[in-house]
Amino acid sequence: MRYAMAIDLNRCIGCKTCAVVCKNHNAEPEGIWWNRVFSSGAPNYATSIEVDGGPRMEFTPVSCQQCDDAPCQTVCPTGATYTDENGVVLVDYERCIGCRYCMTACPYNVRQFNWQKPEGIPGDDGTYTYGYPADVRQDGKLVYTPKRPEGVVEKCTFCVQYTQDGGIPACCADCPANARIFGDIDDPDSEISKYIADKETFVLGEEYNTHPKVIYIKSKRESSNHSGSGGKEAAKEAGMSTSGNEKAGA
Amino acid sequence: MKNFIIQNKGAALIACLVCIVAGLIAWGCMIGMGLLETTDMSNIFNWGLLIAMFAFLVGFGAGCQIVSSWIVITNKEELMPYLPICQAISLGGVIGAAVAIMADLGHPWHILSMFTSPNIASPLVWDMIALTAFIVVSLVCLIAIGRRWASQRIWMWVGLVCALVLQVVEGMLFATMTSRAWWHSFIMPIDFVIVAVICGLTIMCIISAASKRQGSLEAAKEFAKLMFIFVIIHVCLSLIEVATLAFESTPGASMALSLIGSYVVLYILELGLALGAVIVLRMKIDKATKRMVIICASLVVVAMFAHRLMLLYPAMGAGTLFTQLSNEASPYWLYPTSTGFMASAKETFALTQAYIPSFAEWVSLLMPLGFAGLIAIIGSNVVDAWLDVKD
Repeated sequence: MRYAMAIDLNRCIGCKTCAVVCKNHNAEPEGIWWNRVFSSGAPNYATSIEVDGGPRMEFTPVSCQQCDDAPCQTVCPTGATYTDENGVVLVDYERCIGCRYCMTACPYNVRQFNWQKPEGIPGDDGTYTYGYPADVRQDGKLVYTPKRPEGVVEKCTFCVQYTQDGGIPACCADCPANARIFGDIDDPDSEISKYIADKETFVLGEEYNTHPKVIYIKSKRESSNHSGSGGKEAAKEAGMSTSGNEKAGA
Repeated sequence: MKNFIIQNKGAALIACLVCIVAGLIAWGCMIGMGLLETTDMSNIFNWGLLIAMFAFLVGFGAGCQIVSSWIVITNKEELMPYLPICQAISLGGVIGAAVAIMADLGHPWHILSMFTSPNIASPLVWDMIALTAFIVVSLVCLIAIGRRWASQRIWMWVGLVCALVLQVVEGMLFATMTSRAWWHSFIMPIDFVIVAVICGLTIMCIISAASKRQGSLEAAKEFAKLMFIFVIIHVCLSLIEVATLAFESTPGASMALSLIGSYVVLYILELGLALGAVIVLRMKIDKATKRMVIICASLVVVAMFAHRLMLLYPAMGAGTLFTQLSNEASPYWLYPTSTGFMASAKETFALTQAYIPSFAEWVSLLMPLGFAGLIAIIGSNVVDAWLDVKD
């Protein structure tokens, strides 16, 4: 079994809900974002670029690509970064020495370092804490904790706190456009395998030969001054295919 | 054999201890108050000054071992008086480097994991093995010199091999990073060896020129002549590296090149200063005074530190993830990274970062430097005492 995630760029509307729910469900400390959504090819944040005389905007969500050949795992001196039996790359917080070599090795810049003691967000009546409330261990390894230790590296776990119980990652469950499809890529009958079967896909940073398990479906959008069939087809497809994603197991 | 190299050992030892204490205080502030508050590092520029100092000191350590081995293996009688201090700097430099990398760890309390469950595929584990082996061998070499072991020559051969392996592994630490165009080059490990030799020759050039021993200027000039050759090789390798990068024509390589442009002053300091200093010294070598030798060699030391900084800037500043439209040709765009910053005047997401080391970071460098100096002084003192007894 290998968990994977497909992200359909036809469906992504750039609302950044995935980034926010990811931060919320995973108790990501101040300044840390496991999930980012920006527009591709544009010279500035969230701006369109001109293609065929018209504006074009395409959003590319980026989180840990859960590589089959993860450079972060190769370089980790203590084995704190490892791939579990589901093919998910995880970090054992209790073994990480904070050397940040993995951050240097990751071509996707998705690894984040706890530069200082993470604190809760101050609320009206004291400190407001958020995120999945309990520690999660895998064979004794601490792979999730709402109380992050200082000086260790963290990243997307495909919401191990939910997937270990058969749930799906929060970003998949809460995406309003159902742009994210999660499942076992080795199972031809899984939702993700069926979804990507007839679609044109690509992976980020192919030149690095990391073999990511986050697979992107190419957009069919065209520039807004065009009324070609591609855009309509994409819209139709996005509107029709909305079933399937279970809610997160929280 | 009387020690004539360091004139006032007491003052030098106190200076080293002051450096260690000051560095420890700065490091304590960094750990206690949080790295985000006290340093200029971020998720973009996640390796900073301490890593540069690590590479700098390990170069002096390995370089001095190479020079020591060269002196013994080729039986350079005129340079033998400088052997104890050279070997002691070798040990001190690498211990200082180990201190620098330990201080840079975010969670040093987990360091035992490196011994209980090392990932042998990691170049950092290779580095730990090479560094540990080097420290042991360097110490044995120091004892072999002091005790005048019959096997001294063999140990110096072993030391030479260890030094070369250490520098190759150091180079591999960076060169294996396929995502960093500035590092991912086969030239990197070779250049690490060359730079180590430069560092070793440079420090010995300064020390011999500063000593009051008869014939010390001639010894310094001998080191200087070799320094000239190795600086030329380093400059050539650096230029080949830049040319290779220019022909790569990937977005990452282009960005690394543009960053070299942004840090051109530092780059000129690295190559130009070293080249200028050794050319002047080589041209005036016959008439060179001690003062001239010390100034030129000191400029090379500054250039080598600039080189270690330039190891980081074009690599950490350049992005690695570039995206474009999925269904149309479009410009590549560097994808923003979450910096780790929140609030204040700094951006939460950014494309790149102009890293300006903080005051605390600069002061923290005194800790590894102090340790390196302390070990070098104590080591040479002990060896000199042994040699005095034997004499």
